[in-house]
Amino acid sequence: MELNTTSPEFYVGEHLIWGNLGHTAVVVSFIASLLAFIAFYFKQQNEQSPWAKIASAALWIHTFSVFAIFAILYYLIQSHYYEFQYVWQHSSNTLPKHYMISCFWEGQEGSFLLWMFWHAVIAVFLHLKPNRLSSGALSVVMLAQVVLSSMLLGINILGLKIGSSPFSLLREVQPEILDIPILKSIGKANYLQAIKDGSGLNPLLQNYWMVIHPPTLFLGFATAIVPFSYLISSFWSKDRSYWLKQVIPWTLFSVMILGTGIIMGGFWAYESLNFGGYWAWDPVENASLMPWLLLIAAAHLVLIFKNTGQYAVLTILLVCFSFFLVLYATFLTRSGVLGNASVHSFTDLGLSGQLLIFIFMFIFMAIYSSFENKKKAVLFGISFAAIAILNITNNSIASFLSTPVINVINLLAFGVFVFWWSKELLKLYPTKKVDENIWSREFWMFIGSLVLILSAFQIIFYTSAPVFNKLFQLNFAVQKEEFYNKFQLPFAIVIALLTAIGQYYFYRNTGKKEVWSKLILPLVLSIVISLIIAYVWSIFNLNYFLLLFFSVFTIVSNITFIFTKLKGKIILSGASIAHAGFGLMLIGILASSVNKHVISYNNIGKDFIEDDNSEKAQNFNRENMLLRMYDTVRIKDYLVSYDSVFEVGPDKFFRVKWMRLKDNKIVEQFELFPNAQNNPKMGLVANPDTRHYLHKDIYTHITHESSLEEIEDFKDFKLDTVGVGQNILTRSGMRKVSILGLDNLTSEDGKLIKIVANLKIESEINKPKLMDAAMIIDVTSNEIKYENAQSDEDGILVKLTTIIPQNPKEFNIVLTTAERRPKIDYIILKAIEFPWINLLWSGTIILVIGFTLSIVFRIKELKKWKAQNPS
Amino acid sequence: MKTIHIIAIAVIGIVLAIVLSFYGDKSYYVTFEQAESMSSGFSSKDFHVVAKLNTEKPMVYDPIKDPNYFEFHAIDSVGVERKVVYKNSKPHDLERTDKIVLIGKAEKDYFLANDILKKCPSKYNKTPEQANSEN
Repeated sequence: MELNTTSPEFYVGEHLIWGNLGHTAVVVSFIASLLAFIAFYFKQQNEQSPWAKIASAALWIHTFSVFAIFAILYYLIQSHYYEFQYVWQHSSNTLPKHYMISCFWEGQEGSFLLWMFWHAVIAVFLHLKPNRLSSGALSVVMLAQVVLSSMLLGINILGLKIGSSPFSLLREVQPEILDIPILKSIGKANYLQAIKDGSGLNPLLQNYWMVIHPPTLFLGFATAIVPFSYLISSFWSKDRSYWLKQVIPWTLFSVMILGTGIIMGGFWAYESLNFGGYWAWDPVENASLMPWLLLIAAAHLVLIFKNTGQYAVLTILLVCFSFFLVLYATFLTRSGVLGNASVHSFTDLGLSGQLLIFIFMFIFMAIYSSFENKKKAVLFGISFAAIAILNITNNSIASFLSTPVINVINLLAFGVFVFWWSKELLKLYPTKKVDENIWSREFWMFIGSLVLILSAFQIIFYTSAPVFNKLFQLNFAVQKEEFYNKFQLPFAIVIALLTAIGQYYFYRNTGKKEVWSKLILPLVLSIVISLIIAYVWSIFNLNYFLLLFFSVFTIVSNITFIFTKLKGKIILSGASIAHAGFGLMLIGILASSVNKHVISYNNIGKDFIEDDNSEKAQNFNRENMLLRMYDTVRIKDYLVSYDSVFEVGPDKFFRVKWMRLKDNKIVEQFELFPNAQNNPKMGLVANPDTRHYLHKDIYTHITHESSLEEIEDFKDFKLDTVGVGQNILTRSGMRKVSILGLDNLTSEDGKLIKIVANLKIESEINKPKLMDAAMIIDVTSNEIKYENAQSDEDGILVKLTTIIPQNPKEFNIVLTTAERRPKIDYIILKAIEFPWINLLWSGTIILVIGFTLSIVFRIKELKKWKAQNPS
Repeated sequence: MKTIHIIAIAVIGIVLAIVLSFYGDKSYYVTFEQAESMSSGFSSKDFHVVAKLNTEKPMVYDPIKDPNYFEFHAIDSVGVERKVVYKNSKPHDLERTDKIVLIGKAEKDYFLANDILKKCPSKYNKTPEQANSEN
C-alpha cells in the first residue's frame, strides 16, 4: 500500500526524452522567431548591417525547429506514446497511418503548429527570393511566429498560463489518471500498463477530405499575412508603390487557396457529415468566409490601385482588415467564445487573452507604422485601446444603455477610427480630387468591393452575437440560415451583375456606346438561356430568378469576352475564366439549395410545402423513412430495398438497392452503402453514401438502425399445462406453441437427467420454427437448470417449467410462455436530392484554373517589370 | 451631390439595415416558461431553450411505429421540466450531452422542437474541465 499513496520518483515506460526534445524545439522556435523579428527589422533599415546575418541564421533555426516540432509530434503519435496527453487524446492503436496526420488538426495545439508550418514555408520562400521590401515583410511574419509559438509554450509565468504544449504529459494534465483503481495493485509507477490505447480520433475526421481540407485552409490563412507584411514593410521603408506589385500575385494566391479550402470543407461536410448539405452558416464556417470576402475585395482593389492610382486608402484598409479578420476568425473558433453557438468549435484552452493580444498587437503595429506623426499614432492607439477596454471590462454599461445603443455607439466609434486612420493614410497617398467616372472599370470594381465589404460586415455582425453576449452578458441565440440568406442573396445578385459587366469597362474611361455595343449580344443570350433554365427548374421567385439571370450573364459575358476582346489568348483570360467559374458556382448553389428535396418524405396524403414555416408544415416533418430488411419501399421514382449489412472494422455498411422503374421495366439499378459507426465516444456516427449523376445527387444516410434499440424484457408470462400433441397460445394470442414430443436423456454416470420438449413455434410474421426447451435435473443436489426456447424474431420465450407424470407413459407438461416485441432488422433512412450540385464543384475547379492563370500572368508581369526597373 | 455622396449614403443605409435587422431577427435564449408565455402571443418566431436532458425519465422513440417521432424530458436552466417532442429521428449522442439547445415552440403540454443543438464535451476534447485544470 505504501507504494501507492505517494507519487513515485519515476514512472515506468515513459519516453520523456522525446517530450523534452519537442518542448526544447518549441522554446528554440520561439526565441529564434523573436530574434528574427528584430533582426529582419534592422536588416530592412540597412541591408549591410550585421543584423542581416543574424536574421538569416535565426530564420533557418526557427524553420528547422518548427519542422522538428512537427516531426517529433508525428513520431509520438505513430509510436502510440500515450504518456503524452495530445497523443492519448487524439489518436488510438487502430487509427490507420494515413489518418494520423489528421491528429494534428483535431487539437488546438496541432492546428497552431500547422499554421506555423505554413508561415515558416512562406518565410523561407520570401527569404530565398529577396526583394527590397522582403526583410521588413519577414520581420512581420516572424512576429506572427513569435505569437504562434508562444501558444505552444505551455509554461506558467507568475500564475499566467502562456500557451498549451502538445508535449504535456497525460499524468500532469489529468492527474486523476493516477487514481484509477487498477493502479492500486500494480503501482502508480506502472500506470502506463493501464493505458494501452488512446481515446481516439473523432471518426468524422477519419475521412480523406479531412486530410487535405485543413492544410489547404490554413495555407490560405497563412498567405493572408504576406500582403499585410509587405504593406507594413513599405510603411517602414517609406516605399509607396513597390509593395503593390509584390502583393498582387500573393493576394490572388491567398484568395484561391482559402476559397478552395472553404469549398473543400463544404465538400467534406456534404460527403461525410449528415446535416444534409455543404453549408450551414455555422459560426466556424463563417469565420473562414469573412476574411475571404475581404481578400477578394482586396485582390480587386490592388489591381485598381496599381492601374489607376485610385482608392489607395481603401486598398490599404482592405489588406489590413482581411488579415485582422483571419486573426479574429482564430479568436472566434479557439477562445471558446462560440460556446453554445457552434457545433464544432474547439474547446477553450484558456488562451483567449493571448489570442486577443495577437489581434491587437497587429492592429497597433499597422497603425503605428502608418502614422507619420508618431505622437498621433500613440494618441490613436490609446483612445482605441480605451474604447476596447471599456467594452471588455465594463459590463455595467448594458444596464443603463440598451445594447442596440451600445452597438451603434461602438459602430460610430469604429467609423471614427477608420476615418481618422484613412486621413493619415491619405497623407501618404495623396490622390487628385476627381469625381468618380461611372464609365470606368475602377468605379464598378470599387462598387463591387463595397458590396463585398457589406456582405462581410453582415456575416461578421451576425456571427459575433456570441461575442456580444460575452461582452454585455446578454443571451442572443444563434442566428438561423434564413437571416443570412436574406442579405447574402441580394449581395450575390449585385456581385454577379458586376462580375458580368466589369471587364467590359476600361480603366479610367470607356465610351457609353463601347460598353453597350459589346454587351448587347451576351445580354440577349443570357436572357434566353436563363428563361429556359428558370422554366425547367421552376424558379419563379424574383430574387432567385435575378440571381440565376445574372449568374448566367456572368458566364456568357465572360466567355464572350475571352473570344471577342482577348482574341482567345489563354494567358490573359485568367480573370474571365475565374469569373465564369464563379458564375457557375452561384448557379450550382442556387439550384442545389433552392430545389433541394428530401425525397424520403413519407407523408402520404399530406399536402406539404417545403419552404413553408407554418406550424402545420413543421408538424409534418417526416423526413426519415423506415426500411425493414427485405422490404421494398417507394422513394420518388425508385423502389428501394435493404437486404444486408456487413462490417468493416468499426463501421457497419448497409446495402440498400435502388431500382428505377419506367413502364414497369427496370431502367436503372444501383446500390448504395450508407454506413454508420457506433462510436463509444459519440454514439451513432453516420456516413452518407451518395449516388452521383451529372445533373443531380441522391444523398442518403442512416439516422437509426435496429441494433441501437434497447431490447426489452420478456413480459406477459403465462403458465399452461398440456400434453404431447397439444398446443397453446401465448397471452396475446399472436403466437402458437405446439408440443411435438418429449425426450428423456440420462448422463452416463446417471447423475443428470435432461428432459427435452420438442416444440413448434408459429407466429404471424415468420415461418414456423422447430425448437427445444429443456430442463436438466441434477439428481444428487436436486438443482434444476433450464434451457429455454427463445426466438427473438418471433419475440417469444418458452420455458419447460416442470413435468407432471400422469402414468408411466403419459406426462403433463407445464410450459411458461412469455412475449416481447419481435426483433425486426431495419434501418431508418433519409434521402435528399441535390439537383445540379456538380455545377458548384465544377465551377470551383474552373475558378481555380482561372486564378492559376491569373497568378502566372501576374508573376510574369512582375518579372518583366523587374527586368526593366532593376533596383 | 456627387456620386460618392450617394454611394456613402447607400452604404450607411445598408449598414443600418443590417444592424437594425439583427435586432429584429434576434432571438434570445429563454426558459420553457418564458417560451410558453410568449408563444401564446403574437410571435411566430422560434425560441431557443438551453436545457439538460432528464435521464431519469424514459425517452420514447419507436421507429417501427413512427421513425419521425421522438419524445423526451428536459430541464431548463431554472430547473423547470417539460416534455419535448421532436418530429425527427432520435439524435444519437443525446445521452452524452451535458447541454442541449432546443429550438422550437411551446405547445399546450409540450415543447415542440424542430432542431436540437447538442453540446458534447467529448466532441473535440475529453472534458474541457480537464484540459483547463492545468492552471
